[in-house]
Amino acid sequence: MNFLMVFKIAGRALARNTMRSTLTMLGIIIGVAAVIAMVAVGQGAKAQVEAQIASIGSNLLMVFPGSTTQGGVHAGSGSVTTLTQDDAQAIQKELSSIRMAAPSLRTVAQVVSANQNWSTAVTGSSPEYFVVRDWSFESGGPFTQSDLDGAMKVAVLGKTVASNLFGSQDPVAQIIRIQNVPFKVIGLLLPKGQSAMGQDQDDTVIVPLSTLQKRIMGVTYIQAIMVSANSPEETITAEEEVRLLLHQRHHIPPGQDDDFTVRNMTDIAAAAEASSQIMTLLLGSIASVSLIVGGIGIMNIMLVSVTERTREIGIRMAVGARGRDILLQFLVEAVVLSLAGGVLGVILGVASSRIISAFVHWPTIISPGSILLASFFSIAIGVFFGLYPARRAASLDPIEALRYE
Amino acid sequence: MQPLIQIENLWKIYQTGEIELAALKGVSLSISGGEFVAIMGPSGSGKSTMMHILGCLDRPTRGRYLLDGVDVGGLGPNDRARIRNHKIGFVFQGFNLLHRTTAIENVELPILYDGLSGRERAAKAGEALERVGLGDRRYHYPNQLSGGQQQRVAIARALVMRPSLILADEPTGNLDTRTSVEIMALFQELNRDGITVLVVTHEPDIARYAQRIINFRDGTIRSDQPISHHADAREVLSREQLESSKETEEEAR
Repeated sequence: MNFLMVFKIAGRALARNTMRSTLTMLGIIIGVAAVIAMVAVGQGAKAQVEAQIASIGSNLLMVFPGSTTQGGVHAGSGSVTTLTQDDAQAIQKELSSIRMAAPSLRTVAQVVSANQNWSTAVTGSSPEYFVVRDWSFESGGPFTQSDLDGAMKVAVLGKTVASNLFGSQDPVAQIIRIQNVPFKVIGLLLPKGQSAMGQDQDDTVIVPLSTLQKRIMGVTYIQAIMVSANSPEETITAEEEVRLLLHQRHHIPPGQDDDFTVRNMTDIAAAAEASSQIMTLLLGSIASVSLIVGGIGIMNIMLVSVTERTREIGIRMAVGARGRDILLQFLVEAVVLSLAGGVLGVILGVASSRIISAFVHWPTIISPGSILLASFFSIAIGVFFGLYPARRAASLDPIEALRYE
Repeated sequence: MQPLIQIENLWKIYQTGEIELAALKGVSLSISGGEFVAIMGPSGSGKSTMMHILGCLDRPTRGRYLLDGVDVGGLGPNDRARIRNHKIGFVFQGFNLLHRTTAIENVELPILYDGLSGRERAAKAGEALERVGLGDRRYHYPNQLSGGQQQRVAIARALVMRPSLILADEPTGNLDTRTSVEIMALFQELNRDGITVLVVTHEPDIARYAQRIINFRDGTIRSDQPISHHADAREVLSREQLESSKETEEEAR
């Protein structure tokens, strides 16, 4: 008996019991759809995390001031003001594993344009800041070393600040006031979106560090140094080197607490990625359970079907069907059920991922891998759960089967 | 000439727990090609068991069964399926057609397991239906056909592979007298074309259309007699028709 014919017969047998076949398929449909939709949600979340991490900057280390202990009182991290711009310069100049280092000092200030105002974070840094953070310009450009040296009153705007102060107008060459100090806008940054912590990274104004220190805050320290290592592999060496160098520069004797901390952002990225990977796996495996339940449904219906059609099996055997013809017939029926369920499930899965994206605004990524895997599994489930009923049918005694009422 | 069926000292013993039950006790039998044989006997006489073994649905416990010179008693299930497919056609009391399957598809069933292409299959099945007089009922479902017509479909299915042997197990058991005679007429016709026909029945009225009657009792052959003047079913039918038309004529007067 040729294979096409077997499929035709199976299709016809299933079509005779439309209601039952549909309900049986529903188990697989839901299972496959759930796997695809859940994996799509997981992958979407993972991609989002990856994008956010990439937006912080590449191969990034962060150096923060440490805590101080004065008279037994432990102040929090960042309470010391020992970190300076010279430290940042030294890191950049003296360490071979480091591509670039940028100081950073932040304050919150009211920024005023001609007729608008906006409260935002004002960051003071060096020109290296834009390289370390991989940040490009929509118009204009960064400030220069000479701006920094001369504490010039120039500013670069993030997209959020620009649109709040100037709407859709190009802010370059406009004047803004930060705490009554006038600044000339020389650049507009491309939008970066939300950070991994949910902060709007575009809600910022960047000015030369010296300008912020002298003209606005009246301080000499900095709050952080952003360090970009040459490659992801070198971040660990870089971390070690930065620590050694700052030990020397801050004259910290062995055994005493550091007055700074170095945080490897690559580690944080890896952890975040791992956790989103686990989430995908978890969602996928919960969905797979429903796929297995669907398979049990198929087995159940196939067993009922074999019992119901005992006489048919007897007739087929009497006219010359071999055991394996009968086995194939029932196996193919189970596979057709699960495969059709799989195809419909893929459609439903893709559709529901789209719906999730559209209405809940979760990013979803439908991976071809998950579609392939779900289809493969639906066939495998058909074979696995169909085999037992089919073997039972094939092993019937023709005489008994013919007598069956 | 070599007989179509040759059985030597055939035993069938059923084992249920400790108890052994011999359904056939050393039966020997020989049937030549082209015979029309009726097998009779009360229930429990072993005639059904005999049928199953002759039809290669079951295997004997002991003894030899040669079908067309081939020892089929020792064959495995796949080979027996092949023999059933090629050499034997079954007709049952309850017709045993597949529901919700058209007449022609029912007839196609044995060819399906022989692996012929769709067109050849349809042509052969159509031919077989023509032969039993149902050429115009191809696409009818069993529940749209009368009992006699259903049995004809079953007979078409039995002969579609051109078997050398047709085994009919109480083929008229579910039919009225007149339809029974019609079915027997069909068997006689097939027999005239050279097919060996074996009918299992407990009705002497049906057995009289055979050329030879074998009586079973308690797992052995009680008697085995040829019938010199067997009835011709077609004659019976035309005589009846004549009588009934006479009756209507008389009534008309």
